[in-house]
Amino acid sequence: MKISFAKSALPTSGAYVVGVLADKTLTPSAQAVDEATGGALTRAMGAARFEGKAEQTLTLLAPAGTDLDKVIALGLGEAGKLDASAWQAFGGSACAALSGDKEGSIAVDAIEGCPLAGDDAAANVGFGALLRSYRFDKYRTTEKKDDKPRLSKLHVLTDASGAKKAFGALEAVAEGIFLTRNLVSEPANILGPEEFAKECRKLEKLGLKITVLGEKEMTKLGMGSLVSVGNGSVRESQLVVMEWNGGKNGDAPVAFVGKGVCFDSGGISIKPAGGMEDMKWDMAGAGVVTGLMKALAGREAKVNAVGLIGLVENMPSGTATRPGDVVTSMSGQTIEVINTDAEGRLVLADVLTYAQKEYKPREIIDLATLTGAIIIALGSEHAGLFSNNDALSQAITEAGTATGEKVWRLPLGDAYDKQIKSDIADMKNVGGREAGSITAAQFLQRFVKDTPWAHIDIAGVTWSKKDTATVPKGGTAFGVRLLNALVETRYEKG
Amino acid sequence: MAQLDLTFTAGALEEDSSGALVVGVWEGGNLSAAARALPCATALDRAVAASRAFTGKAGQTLTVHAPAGVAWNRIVLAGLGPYDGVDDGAATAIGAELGAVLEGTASLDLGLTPALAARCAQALRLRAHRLPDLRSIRPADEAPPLARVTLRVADPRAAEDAWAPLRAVAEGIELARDLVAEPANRLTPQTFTERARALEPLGVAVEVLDAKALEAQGLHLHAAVGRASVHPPCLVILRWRGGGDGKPALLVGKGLTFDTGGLSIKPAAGMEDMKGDMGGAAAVLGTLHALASAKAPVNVTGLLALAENMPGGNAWRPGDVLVSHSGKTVEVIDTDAEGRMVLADALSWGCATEQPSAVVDLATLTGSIVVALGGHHAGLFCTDPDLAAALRSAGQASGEALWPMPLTPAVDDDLRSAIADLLQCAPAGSGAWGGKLLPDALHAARFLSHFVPEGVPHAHLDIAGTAERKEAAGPCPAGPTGFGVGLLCAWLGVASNG
Repeated sequence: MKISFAKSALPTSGAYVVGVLADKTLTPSAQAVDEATGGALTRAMGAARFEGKAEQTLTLLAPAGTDLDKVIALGLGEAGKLDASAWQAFGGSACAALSGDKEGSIAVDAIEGCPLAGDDAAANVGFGALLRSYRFDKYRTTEKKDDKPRLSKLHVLTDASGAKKAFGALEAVAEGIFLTRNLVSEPANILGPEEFAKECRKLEKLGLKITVLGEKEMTKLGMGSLVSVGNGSVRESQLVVMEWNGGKNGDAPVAFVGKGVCFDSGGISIKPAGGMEDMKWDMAGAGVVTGLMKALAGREAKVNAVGLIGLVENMPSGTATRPGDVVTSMSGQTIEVINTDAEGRLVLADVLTYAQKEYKPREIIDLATLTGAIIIALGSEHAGLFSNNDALSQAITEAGTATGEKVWRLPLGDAYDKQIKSDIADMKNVGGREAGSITAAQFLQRFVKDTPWAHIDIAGVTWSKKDTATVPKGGTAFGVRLLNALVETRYEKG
Repeated sequence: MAQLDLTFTAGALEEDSSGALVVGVWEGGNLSAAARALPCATALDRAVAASRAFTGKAGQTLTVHAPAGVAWNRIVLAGLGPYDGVDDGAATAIGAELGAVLEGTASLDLGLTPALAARCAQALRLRAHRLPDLRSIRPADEAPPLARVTLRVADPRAAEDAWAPLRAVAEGIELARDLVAEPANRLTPQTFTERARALEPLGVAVEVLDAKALEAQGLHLHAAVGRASVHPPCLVILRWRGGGDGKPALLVGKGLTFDTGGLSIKPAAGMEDMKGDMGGAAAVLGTLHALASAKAPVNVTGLLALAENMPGGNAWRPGDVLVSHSGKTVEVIDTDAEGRMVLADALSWGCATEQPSAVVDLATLTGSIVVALGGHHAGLFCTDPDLAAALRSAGQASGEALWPMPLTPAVDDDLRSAIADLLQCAPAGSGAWGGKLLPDALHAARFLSHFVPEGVPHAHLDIAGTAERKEAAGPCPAGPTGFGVGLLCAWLGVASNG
């Protein structure tokens, strides 16, 4: 879908979306429509119990007094709550309402008393619409044309002259989000560790430096923990490093680490069949890191950042790792594998060690669809946040609130760490049912030295069963917007 | 249950050939003045030097049996930590460890200030506490329980003053632990009510709504939960008015004296633990006991929502729609999510009747909170920032840690019923990853918030992970913890630190 920006004016054809504030308060564009149609909009609002609540819609077909195919009144809610997220939701809802039209326009008016206005408001409307337009339909070969969304051109009508420029940076973020959604949505027969690494290599043309390590190199580096996870699969495990140096030369980078289990059958500790298909997206942490790196490069972020993703496939077979096996991590610490379905932490352990040794990052943030326990704890509204640093934790929480990708901090502590004591190795890879997400984070913390570190467990927020204003159901790419905002506020301005 | 006899004295401790003398050792291994003064000091020095594990840290002990030159049958060396640095935390650690190792009769000469001696005594008493003992045969070689402790302090009057509120809290915690330990054939809603009536001589007014009164006053959720049991449900109201005319704080405890799960019956393995599903009510009763014993200058109403959840021909069923005390209708999904039902009515009735300034409910409510936070934090669900902060700091002061959990309207979608105002919980299979994974603690907390009138600050504490513990730690032996009594007393201003 192509998004363009043009001056505010009542369009002469096509479909047109105008905003209405809470309590049926018409925006100037809505007012103009109401006048042109001889008050049809006002009458229709009364008839349809339309109040102007956020995301509420009301459609007028071929309204008399205009040549428009349709006018859609879309609720904006209260003016005082129109921040970036609300404008994005407005754009996203407009996109959904226009899906049956080939071409549409959205009016973005100057509204008094709203927290975000002008260029940024219009740009965020475009951003929200773009995010909502995403569809992963490459494997639907027999779908009828009528069933597919038709919208191919969307005009954002605004008097703000810098909207197009402001949209540019957001469009780069959307590109990153789309890459993440694509990676997460691809089935595992198409996207294995090597195919994933190939996708990463494509980012070289944006100026990212890409390095790929195979099993041989990883074994040589002593990554016995990561390599053990892929032992059962015929596909080779990969470690991909993506470097973006947009900041000052010599500044320590921020490191983003992602879990990339391209398919997780559970291995010898195999999962029950019900729901196993979801395990194609057990690489979402890596998908988010990859999309984030694309976004940072695309908008030429003034930051030094390195993304590191551990890509493996976890399969049962004659060569697979067994419960009871002891593996040696790159850090030298030994791990007793109790459950081969707690494999994500085995991958992350070595990637975390490698990140610290090779890049001496100022801070590390890892993302992983790590535990089912986080869903039992927090559901799907918040991702779980664990950190050894209050300031970093606070910054991530704020970035989450600002972007609508919300996190909730959970505790760490010695008492929890005791649950992963092993009788024969330095630690075991599961700590029992109690505090399952916390003990997973404790495990990771054993591989972090003094670097400020945060771990985000995204198992509950990676895949959604229903559409929201800016996120169609399916892969959400949760984390890209959040971390992009964190980079902006914490590393680029710092 | 024999009470531990605990006294403070200023005088010299009389040597006792059947007892132990406890003296301090500073971190690094230097004997305290009291230890140095003993005729066997050289032997003690040698014992300290010979032990690798004992370094004098607060919370460590080293027992020396029958040292030459003294009549004591044992000298117990207690680590005091860094020289002259004993604080509340260290005094608690010292007392807790002594509570674990001492038996019979003991005399303590640790050189502690009266306030720290009282703190030490509380930890000692709590750790040494024995649960109701229903054995008819006891092994002959079993160590005798700790029966008498004498603490030497410079100013026994000051120590007694500091001890009185701490003792009240300790008694409350012990009462809560004992109730949780009681098997359900001994502790029914009716016998629990008798235990509550025992607070009347302390000045607590006790009122009981029996099953008939529950129905008559519209507490149909509560009544339904207990309907199939031969031990009928009831609501016990405890009123302590020590604080003049102010609005009371309302404490509500879930009191399922046994929870089979009802028709949605639980698997057999582990079901015996369900005798402890009244831990919230036990904590509320323990708190009221402590407040009244300490004559706390506060107004508090405690509600014990008591019931036994059994399957039966008369039992409530999944699919039933019940009318709550608040008037809201609830569609039952799972009869094993019964705690939120009794609490919903108790909260609603309590808010209407008592007009409280704030409400705190405690419940062993969900397995979900155990998966989330394990055994080291209880879940705190509260949207009132002041109340949440006050409870968290009370938790820190009392060693009963809380962790805030989200309480947002986002989960209301999951509780939407097709035919009633609310689903009682989300149906099995409606969650993520094949339907199995549901944030039930969030659902339960949000469900409860629908029964507290707007504007009344409310906190819900899910104590399913903290009401019992597998291993002893600090002042808490393995088993029931009495979790909640310490933090509520601290919140209400009784025996808080500092």
